[in-house]
Amino acid sequence: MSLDANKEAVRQFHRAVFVERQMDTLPSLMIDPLHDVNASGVPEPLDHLKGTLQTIFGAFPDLKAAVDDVMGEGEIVTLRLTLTGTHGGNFMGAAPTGKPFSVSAIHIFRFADSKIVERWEWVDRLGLRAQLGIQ
Amino acid sequence: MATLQETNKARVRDYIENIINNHISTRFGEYVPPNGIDHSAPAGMPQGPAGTQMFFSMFFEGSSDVHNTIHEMIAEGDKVTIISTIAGTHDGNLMGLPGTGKKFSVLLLETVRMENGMYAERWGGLDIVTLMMQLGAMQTEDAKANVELYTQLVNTYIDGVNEHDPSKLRQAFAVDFVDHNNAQVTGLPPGAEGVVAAHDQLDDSFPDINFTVEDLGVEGDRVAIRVRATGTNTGSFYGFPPTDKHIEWTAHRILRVANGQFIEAWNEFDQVGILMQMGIIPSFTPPPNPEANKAIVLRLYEEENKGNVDIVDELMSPDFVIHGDALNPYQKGLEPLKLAARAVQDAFPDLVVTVEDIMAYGDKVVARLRWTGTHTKPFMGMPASGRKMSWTAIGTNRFENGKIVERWFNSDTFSLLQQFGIIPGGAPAEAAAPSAGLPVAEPPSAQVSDSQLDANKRIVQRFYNSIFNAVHVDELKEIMVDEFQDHGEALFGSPHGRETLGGGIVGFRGMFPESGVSIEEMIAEGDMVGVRGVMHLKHDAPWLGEATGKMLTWNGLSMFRIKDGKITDRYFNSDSLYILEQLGYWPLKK
Repeated sequence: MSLDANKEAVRQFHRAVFVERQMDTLPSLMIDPLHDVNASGVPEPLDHLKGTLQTIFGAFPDLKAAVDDVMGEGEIVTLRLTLTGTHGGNFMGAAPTGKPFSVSAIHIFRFADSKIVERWEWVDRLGLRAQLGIQ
Repeated sequence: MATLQETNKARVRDYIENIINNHISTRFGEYVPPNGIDHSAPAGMPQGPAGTQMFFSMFFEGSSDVHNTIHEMIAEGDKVTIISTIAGTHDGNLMGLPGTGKKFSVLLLETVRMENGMYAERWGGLDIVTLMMQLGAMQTEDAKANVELYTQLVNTYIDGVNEHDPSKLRQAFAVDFVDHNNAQVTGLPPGAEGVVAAHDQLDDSFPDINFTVEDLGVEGDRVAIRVRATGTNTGSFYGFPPTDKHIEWTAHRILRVANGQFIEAWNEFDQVGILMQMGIIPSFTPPPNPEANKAIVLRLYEEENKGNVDIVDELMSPDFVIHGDALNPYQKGLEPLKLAARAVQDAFPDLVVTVEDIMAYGDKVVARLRWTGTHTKPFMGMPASGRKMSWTAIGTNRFENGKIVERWFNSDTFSLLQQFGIIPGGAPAEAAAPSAGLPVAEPPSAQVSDSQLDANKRIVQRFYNSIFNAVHVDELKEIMVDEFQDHGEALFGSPHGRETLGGGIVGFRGMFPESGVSIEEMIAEGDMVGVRGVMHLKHDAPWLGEATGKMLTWNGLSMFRIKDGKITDRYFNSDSLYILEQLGYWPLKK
């Protein structure tokens, strides 16, 4: 499996999640359960990831994720994004403020046998909270 | 020749392992150029090496062992993505938070674009929000929601206990609940049914059991509670027979929640305290304070003189027991005591009790009392007589934890019946002195050594054993002054002078060869010795009517005053009415 194919899978992930919001395609890209390093450090059912993403779309209904960079080496691919949107729903207990935001994020994926087996994620949550005025 | 990517990765590794991990904050300029751009720099952080230095100095200051561990490096073109962890101990000031000693460990994800081995551009960072949560500076949303959910769950559990409702226990505890301390009670079924069974057993031991949550804390998926439990021990507990005592204890539980129910728990409760209160194992009571105890007895009667009968709730234990006399029989609890006090106060509205003597040793206080009042309303079936009446009593009070918990009490019931006109005689045992209305007590005697107190007790012991029981009346002069004064009760009179007393003893013991006194307890303070004794007498001679041949027993309380090794006074009250009861004169037949 080539790096290019892995990068293409990451782009598919981006389209499925952030453009089409078709979470049902996730199982074709990722193993289930998935080793999600940020969440709990142990393999978690894909449903957890779907749930988290749906919560995010609930909080930011117009969320857009612009791809800044896709790069990789070996079995790992990095997806660098700029997330923009408006705080239109409940987020971490905070009522919608209607404020716009723009923050960067990094998703990193490890592949095995052409499927994502491990996942890391960083979002500039401090910047997001600052822009929304949430403590 | 190394590729650009290999060179860049080596440079990143060198930066992290040699500069950051050695906490060298003066050399960032060797890796971050003045025109370097950090796209993810927090607001207010300068660009270039100054910003990097500010960021890492914050960690060097806040954590003496902070360490950056590289997990993965991915290089493509001129960029390197680094997956690493920043971890350490929060032992200094970190982001304004004084050291907590907590460990932290957060992921650091970043992509850098390298230019001639320098960090030209950078994106990414560590999750400061997670870091703050790990340091306890920020509460997660989940945790906030959990406090509400867990409190409801605890309430369901506590309601289930207090309402004896197993369905609420089954609602709060998961079917596969695990109690890590259930070794305390063996034979319980596993899971929620074990909780139900354990509370069934507790309900049997303490049917009026009540739990109150005094403290509750939530962290992660655990809730910790501190519970105060109360109950009356009317059923057996751990196989020990019921004591009827009111028991209080504390319990601490840590419960883990999963899927909206308690799934496991760790539990400690004060079993030792329960067994101590039940009297199964000795309690570690503080050393007795005789002076404080005397003050409590004085205050008790002072308040009763003001009509404040409810003072007993403050000064006496709810487990109070009185070993009284035929008029004030053995009773438990404070309510009978209050009822009796109110009845007497009602019949004798001007009633005053005077403390004529008070002494204490160890956990006991002996008080010599005199009641004076006018019989203005019916009492014990006796119509109001308008008579001014006076009677004496001696009470020995035992203290536990600063409260009166037990009392031996004898009043001059014989005299009372005479004054009521029920039995002939009439004159009070001793003329009632006009009372000031307040307890009169002698100032505490000068400190007397324990060996002196023991010597005084031996004198009293000799009085009963050698003089009274063995009738060696010739020895009386060795332990009693000539001008001895007895302050007895109506039935036995109050002889004056040693010779009179000695003659009385010889006469009495001559009439009743099968009689004697056994000493149950002696306590001494200053020049006084208090005695609790039991008298027995085979009624083989006429006394209070014809001889019946009955074996009579009755309790008595005495106080002896001793000066220079000799008895000068004796105060004495016994359960004289009980003698009449045993002879069939009392209660009066209608």
